[in-house]
Amino acid sequence: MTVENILSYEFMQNAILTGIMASIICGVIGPFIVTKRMVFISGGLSHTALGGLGIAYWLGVKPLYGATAFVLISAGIIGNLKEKISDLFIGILWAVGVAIGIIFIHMTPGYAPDLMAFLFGNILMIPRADVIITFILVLIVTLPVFIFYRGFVSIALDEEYARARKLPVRALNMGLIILIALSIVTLIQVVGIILVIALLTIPVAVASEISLSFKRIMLLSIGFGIVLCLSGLFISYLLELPSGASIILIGGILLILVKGAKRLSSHHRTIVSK
Amino acid sequence: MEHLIEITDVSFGYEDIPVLENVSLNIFEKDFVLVIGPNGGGKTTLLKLILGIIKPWMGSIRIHRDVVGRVGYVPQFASFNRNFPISAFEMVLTGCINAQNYFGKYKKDDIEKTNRILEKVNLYARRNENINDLSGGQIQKVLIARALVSEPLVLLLDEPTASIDITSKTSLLDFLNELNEKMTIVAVTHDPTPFALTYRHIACLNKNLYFHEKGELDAHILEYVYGCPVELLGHGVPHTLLKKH
Repeated sequence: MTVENILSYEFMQNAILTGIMASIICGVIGPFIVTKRMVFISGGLSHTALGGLGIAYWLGVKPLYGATAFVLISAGIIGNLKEKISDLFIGILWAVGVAIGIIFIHMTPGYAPDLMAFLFGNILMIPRADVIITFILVLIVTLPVFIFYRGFVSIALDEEYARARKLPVRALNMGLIILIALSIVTLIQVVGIILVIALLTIPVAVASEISLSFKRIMLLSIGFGIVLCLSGLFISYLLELPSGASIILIGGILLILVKGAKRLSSHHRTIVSK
Repeated sequence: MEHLIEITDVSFGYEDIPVLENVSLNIFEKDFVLVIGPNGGGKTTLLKLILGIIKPWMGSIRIHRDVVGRVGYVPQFASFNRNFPISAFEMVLTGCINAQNYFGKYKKDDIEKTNRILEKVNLYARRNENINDLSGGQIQKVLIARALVSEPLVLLLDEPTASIDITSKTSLLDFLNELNEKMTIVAVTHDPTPFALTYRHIACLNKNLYFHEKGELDAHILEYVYGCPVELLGHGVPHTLLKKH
């Protein structure tokens, strides 16, 4: 089967478009999550999506809407938590979200056909309508980051200094958490609730090995995200493997290779300088 | 002379625990006030109150109309996120950001000002280096440059000589002296030794504040503030040192 043949399928075109858009989100939001140490918050948000998903199944509405509502409500709660207690409550939200999801899915009669796709992602099953929703979500997430880039950088770099400069630190933090929530909703379609954190952090981790400039890390993360999503997509199609897991596994391998290459090159430089 | 900053009977605490009680302090134009006291004595809290980051429980803080929005701040050395990938130039540039311009792009003027200040602190040649690759003294200068880029009339410094070596301390204090010709400086420190030749007024803070002219400070006051024995050593110049104990 030629590449041209593969690309002629609509499901493949949808998957490629969604993969590219997901990568843009990874590159725009991921560096803030990693540098501001918000990985745990993001993990909590993504898992609360299961609660919304379960309720949506039970009510018979589109699961993505339920997940979005739940993640946004959780973002609002997390954004208002005091720093001292935030870890504890994020952990509780994480577990309660999953518990609600399990109970409502259990209470829903019949078989939930796309439940596994939401848990583990299936980029090959994304319909054209969801590609359009993803495009709108990408715009909603990326535009505020471009507009308020300096404000977000200020709070990620030095929150106390940002307060001294009278920046609306609380509003910017809340804005960032809401953008992370929307990013998670978008990425759940690609890699699922369980693996979404990996997609938000692995491209950034790889990019950070190569560059020490925040803007360049953003651009490189988008590039690595595209490489991961598209290679994972083709490998999963050709070898009939789960797409979300393939994308993350390739990401893990890429990170090990880049770290290994960096270590070898610095070792080589040390020997040459001696 | 009008005061640039007037702190009157200010009390403040965290949760229910008082940190400052009835603190009053007036700061003049081109003054160099050194606020000393033990760790946990309320020094950083006092700076945060002046900056408006926190509001006093009681009392008032009046900032002169010419100084409103022109108070520069150099926080403690380790307060910024060392995990954030940023060059010295970009770090100083962030000093241009304020409540009116945290969106959009930097102006050409911001970039020119940043380059000028980096030249002034002798870091222009290293402007593109990652902040974590600089020495302690150089990082402190970058943080001061970040405050200076907003063209302040009052500069507040929190433990500016902590975490830097003796040579860097000397160079930093020379620089602060030079800045003091144009602006008011308020520095808080738990170790006043490096500032002995620099300050004009000294305030001892440990929940309560005692204000003194230069030369008025004696071992009795310091022992009261620090809560431990203190011996002063004369160095042939009007110069005050705390002996290690």
